[in-house]
Amino acid sequence: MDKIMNDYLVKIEKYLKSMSDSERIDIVKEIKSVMLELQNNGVSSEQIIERLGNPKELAKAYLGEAISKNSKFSWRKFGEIFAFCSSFAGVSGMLLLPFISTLSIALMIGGVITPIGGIVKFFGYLMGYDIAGITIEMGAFTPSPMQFLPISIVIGVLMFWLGKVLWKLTIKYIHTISQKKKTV
Amino acid sequence: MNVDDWKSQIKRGTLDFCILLLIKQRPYYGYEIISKLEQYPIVAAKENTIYPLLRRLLKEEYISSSWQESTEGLPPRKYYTLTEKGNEYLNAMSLEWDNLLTAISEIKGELNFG
Repeated sequence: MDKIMNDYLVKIEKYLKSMSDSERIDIVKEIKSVMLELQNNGVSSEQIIERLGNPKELAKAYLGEAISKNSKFSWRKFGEIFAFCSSFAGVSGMLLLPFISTLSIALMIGGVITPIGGIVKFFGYLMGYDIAGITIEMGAFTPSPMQFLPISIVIGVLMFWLGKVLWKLTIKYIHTISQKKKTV
Repeated sequence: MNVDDWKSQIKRGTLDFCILLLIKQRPYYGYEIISKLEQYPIVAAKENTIYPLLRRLLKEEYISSSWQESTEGLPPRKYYTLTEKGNEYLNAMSLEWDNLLTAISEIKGELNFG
């Protein structure tokens, strides 16, 4: 293992710092293994590095593929999106992705909470209380307690749906930028 | 006319399939998969495509892996094997692949004789 290849591995390790230790160590070990395999076949260090390509691009491909292709939501995946972002500066990594992924989760949570608020207020109304803390205002229009429940459900469903669409877009977008056409 | 773009789409769409087909036969290690695929330009891909792809297949539990010591002087190798889930996925892919081949050959036939 000479300096060129070692430097390469150090860089990969750095770019993958957001992954778990066990995963990162395993990846580096595998890249090291292929380096030695190529070297054993008489390929020079320079050629090996060229074959493997820019370490940043390789790390990006790993981080992108680590976010599994199905667009189902999980908190783990949310963490992986942030891991992907944190390794790569630039507008999409620093601003866009964290913003849209957080927004989509906020919408999904809002979509669940709003109808719950509606139900609480509705039962409060049935029992003769007006819970002033839960209310909707749309311009000058404030729904009566009776209107409140259906409106809150509609808004909740809309928010949840919007959040889901945004989530799917986030996953798609990451896959597009992590596997540039030309590397395939 | 630019057929390269189309070719790279085919490659992207079929690499999972090729890799799973290989691993089904026997355990393979990464470099071996790359060398094997290199024999066929339409599915040839470099390390920076195959290794991350293997990682995803692992995450999705279609394949499993284990490190094995190899003979003198060579580094340990990470071997990949097909899981039960991967086998089901592969069977489903094979079915669709056959459907595609049938469709193409029928469409071609109609063009020739129709």
